Amino acid sequence: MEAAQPKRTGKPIKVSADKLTTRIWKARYYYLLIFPTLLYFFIFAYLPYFGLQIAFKDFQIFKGIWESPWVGLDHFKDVFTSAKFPQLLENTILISLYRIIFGFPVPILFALLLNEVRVLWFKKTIQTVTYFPHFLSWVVFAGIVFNFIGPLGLINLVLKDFGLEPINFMANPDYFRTILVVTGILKEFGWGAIIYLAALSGLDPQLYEAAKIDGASKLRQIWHITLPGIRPTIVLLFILSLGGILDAGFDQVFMLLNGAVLQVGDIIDTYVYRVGLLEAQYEMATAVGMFKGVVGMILIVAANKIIRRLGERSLW
Amino acid sequence: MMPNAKKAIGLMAAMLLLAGTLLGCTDSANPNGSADGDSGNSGDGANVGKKVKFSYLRPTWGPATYTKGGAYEKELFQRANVEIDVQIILVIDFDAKINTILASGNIPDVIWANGPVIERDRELQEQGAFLPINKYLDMYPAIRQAVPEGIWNKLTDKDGNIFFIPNLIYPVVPFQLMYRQDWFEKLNIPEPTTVDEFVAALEKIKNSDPDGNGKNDTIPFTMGYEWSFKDLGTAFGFSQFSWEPSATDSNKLIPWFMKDKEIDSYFWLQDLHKRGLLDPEFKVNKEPNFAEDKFNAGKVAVIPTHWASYVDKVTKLRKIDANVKIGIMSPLEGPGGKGGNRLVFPMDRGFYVSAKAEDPDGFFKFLNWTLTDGSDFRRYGIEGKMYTVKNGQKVPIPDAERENAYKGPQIEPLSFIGPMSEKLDWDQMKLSFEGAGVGDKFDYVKQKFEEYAKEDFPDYADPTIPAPFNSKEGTKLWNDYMEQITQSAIINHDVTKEQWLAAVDKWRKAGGDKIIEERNELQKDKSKPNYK
Amino acid sequence: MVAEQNTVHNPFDDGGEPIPSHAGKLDRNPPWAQWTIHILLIVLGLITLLPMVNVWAVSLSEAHAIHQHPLMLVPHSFTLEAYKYIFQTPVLLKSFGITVFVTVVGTFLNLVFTITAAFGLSKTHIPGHKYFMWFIIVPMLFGAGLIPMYILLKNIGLLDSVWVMIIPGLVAPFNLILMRNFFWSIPESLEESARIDGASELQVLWRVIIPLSKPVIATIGLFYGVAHWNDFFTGLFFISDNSKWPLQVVLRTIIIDQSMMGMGSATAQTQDVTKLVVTPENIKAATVIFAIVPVLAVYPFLQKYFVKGILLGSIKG
Repeated sequence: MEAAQPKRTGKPIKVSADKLTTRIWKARYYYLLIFPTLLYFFIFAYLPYFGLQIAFKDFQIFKGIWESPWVGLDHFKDVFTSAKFPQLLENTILISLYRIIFGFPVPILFALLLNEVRVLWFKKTIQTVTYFPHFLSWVVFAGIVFNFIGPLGLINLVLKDFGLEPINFMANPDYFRTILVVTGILKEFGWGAIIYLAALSGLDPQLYEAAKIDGASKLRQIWHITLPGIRPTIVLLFILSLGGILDAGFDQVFMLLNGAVLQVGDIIDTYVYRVGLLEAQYEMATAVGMFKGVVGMILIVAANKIIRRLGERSLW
Repeated sequence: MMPNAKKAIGLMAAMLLLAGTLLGCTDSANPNGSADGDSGNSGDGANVGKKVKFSYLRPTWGPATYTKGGAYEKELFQRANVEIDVQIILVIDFDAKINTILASGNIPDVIWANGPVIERDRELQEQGAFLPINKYLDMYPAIRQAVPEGIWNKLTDKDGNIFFIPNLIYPVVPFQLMYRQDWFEKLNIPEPTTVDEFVAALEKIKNSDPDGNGKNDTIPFTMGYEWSFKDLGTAFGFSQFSWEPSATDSNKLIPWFMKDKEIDSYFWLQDLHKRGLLDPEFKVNKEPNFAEDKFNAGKVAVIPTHWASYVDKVTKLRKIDANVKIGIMSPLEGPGGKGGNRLVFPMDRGFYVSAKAEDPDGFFKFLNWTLTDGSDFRRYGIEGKMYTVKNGQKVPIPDAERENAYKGPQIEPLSFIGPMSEKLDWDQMKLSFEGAGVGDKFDYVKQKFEEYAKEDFPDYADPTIPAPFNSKEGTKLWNDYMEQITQSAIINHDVTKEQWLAAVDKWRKAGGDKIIEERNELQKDKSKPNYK
Repeated sequence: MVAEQNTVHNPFDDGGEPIPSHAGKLDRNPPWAQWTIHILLIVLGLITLLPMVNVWAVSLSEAHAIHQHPLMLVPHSFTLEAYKYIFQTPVLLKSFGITVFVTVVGTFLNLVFTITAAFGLSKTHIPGHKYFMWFIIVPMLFGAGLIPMYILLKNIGLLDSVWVMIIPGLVAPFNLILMRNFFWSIPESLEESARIDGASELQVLWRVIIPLSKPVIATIGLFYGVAHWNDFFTGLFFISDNSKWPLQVVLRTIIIDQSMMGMGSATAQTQDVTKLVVTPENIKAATVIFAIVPVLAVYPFLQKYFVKGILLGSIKG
């Protein structure tokens, strides 16, 4: 079976013995291709970083970013010593982890299922329909979720018809994170599967032919050909989703959050929105943004190291 | 590896340097950041023939579909001899947007803001972003007279300067208890006059089927926000969300969540919620208009709501049931005596003139025109397009019946201020009732309004007095200690008053006491304010 | 010649024996598995279709009927008034044109920059590769914030221009890295044989890489295109002249609910409650449908690249 593995391509090419200048000269066309994009990032991502200094300043709007006085780490202290911070961090990480554990595999499984469909119109229809909800904003989608599981929603109407006590799902701390994860999956799995479909369509059919000749069962084919084939994509998306672990989905949480579930659902971003952005205290938002970036960076670097040890291609 | 890295770093450094100088150049080349190069109008611009030009940024309350060069705009520009470069932004995005504009130094000649009731604007005033306008108020008395003298006084800073021109609102905005009178009559429930009768009525509705659909699904009582409760709250003897004198020391103001009566009202609501009298969707449904919508769809018996929405409610409910009757309860009698209305500060934003404005005098001349010669045009617009004359009265044409170019979204961005005397115009109100076919209800609604207006429940805190510590730490302290308890008290039945008081204690220890001290120290005058 | 690669249906087929057309049939799942898969997919499809049907039904119903039927799937009290209302918005058509322009031109430029850079970065042996990757990953994790961006755009003169919706978002790091990963999966032997034939780097990109990467180019083009189409933030903050607003900003200004500002909070943001504007549900729903229909119309042209897998291709011969 191992023979059926796709050829591992693009292995690090042996470091040539050439001098650096020679190697650079040889790669000059690649540099030309990369350079415009680097310049773009430099101008539109790096130049605005001068604004990060407001995380260390008492930002006064009219004075501007440069003229505002320095306050050191005050804003960071403010956030980290907040009585709410441990709870916010816990909620954020838990919600993110649940999303990764339960949500991350769904688009992959869905793409695999779709891949087994032979009738093209059926495949196209299901694929189109499942990516619809991606186009609904959370404002709209949350409204529909509410119509389902709200205190007077469809499910409770049914419960009532059966003479059962209605359940206020939305206001119950035990259900809230589950609701977040499940509705998040429902809204985005179809969209998330597109990238895996693209990866699947790039697999070499001859590998399957060879496997069939070997008499491999369908499941074995999936295990030994399909999954290894899309593994680089899975790994990449996994690393990147780790990098966003402190983004627990502001739009969704904001729309579904209410007072009764604040203790399990209030995340860093909703807090920063209420305390920082609504009050035009950009210093706090910037400080928290930096914190999130650093954490994301650490996780990406760590994940990347582990991945490389496992023999997978890494990010850099 | 080392030379490799050096090379890359060197390359990046070179790029940084290059782009840095590029950016630096453009930065210094445009110190004023003024984008409106066409306003070459210098000097006083006082002569009649010269067009007054200025740029103007203001929020709109939507739909923001204003189109430049429209018919109304043309007419206004011609009559007033002005040219206004209007930028609009939806009110909910306005704060974020003006922050970016102010930070970039790109201030339009005339710009809307919150005024010296918030710290940011007070700071901007101090830092010289805006023009002091005292001189112009003296030159153009119509502008001064449009705003009550008491408000001007509040807007005056410690050096005697006024910067801000307020957008006035009438301080009495009752949120009355509107109810399905037809259902109450059917179930033989007399109109409640006390809080206890009110609860009894809700209980009766809960246990019956007033709409006769065979299901026991009528919601006795709903409301959109806690704020809808503001005038029902007066029956408990407090002014919602406001600072009031402490029960033990009338010379000490305390914030709303420390007032015993107001805390009790939260647990009263919790009890209604527990008993199924208050809409279970309260505070859970994020649809901003869910409560009104449900009432208008005939699913709710009582709703505390904006007094002026009466016509809208009747019109919508009549589509479902032609015989619908909507009653308005008088202010209820409760633990705090007879209720009334919770006053609001009579101002909602307003505008500043930039310190760099090219022709401030021209602007004030224009503003003066809108309050004198141009007053009728400002209020009513163009005859035949925006109003008709009936029996010598100007009757506005409803928005839906106007041509696109004369609809509200085309007019609103070009409006500035109206005097307080226009803010509650019963004649206009009567016309709109008649227009909607409920003219016979006008006297009833007006009478109820006056009943609510009899007793004032203001906020004792004067928003124009700066409270720097509160501005800096208030929101955070609130979110850290009070947000959770206040947000959950009504809908989470396990929350108790003891927990609430414990949260208040923590809040006070963490810095809340300083907020209270600051307020009491800085605001010397602790008497009951009067905005009317 | 390398050019032959273009004419071959199967991108991984080296031009040797064609795959027998019956090959796919041997590959069937057992019937019970096939049934389970189809039923599962139908259920998933129905669940995800439901919200859209609901929005569609609401958009065609009268406002008062909407709250009488909690989760309607067909219109009640049918009316087109919501769509009429949208269409009479003065700046609507122009904004639609702007959005189409931004989406088409923007996506094209996105792809040009992303593909070229991804190709260059897929060569891990070039000196500095690692630093380039860092240079691209950092912006993915750290944003500078609204105000510095505004100041930058003001200084380079992009404010109030439709290009502000295209240039500042030229390359998304995520898409760039994704694209590079896909380029890695293309067998190096193809590239090598092209190089032996004397093709330059650009020719390799154009004749080998791009033809073999249609699925991922379609996918990433879709990501960019949808992002342009849905973007309202850029237009809202960086374009003051509302005659240059994109569709989503205009739609947003139609449906905004002022009461969303949290009237309940102690620091009510709008004192003037008379100004609370509320948009009827059906108009909100109609704007959603209005914004989605063009996307749906274009979708099948992209979909065919990534839905029709190789296996299907081989069945069809």
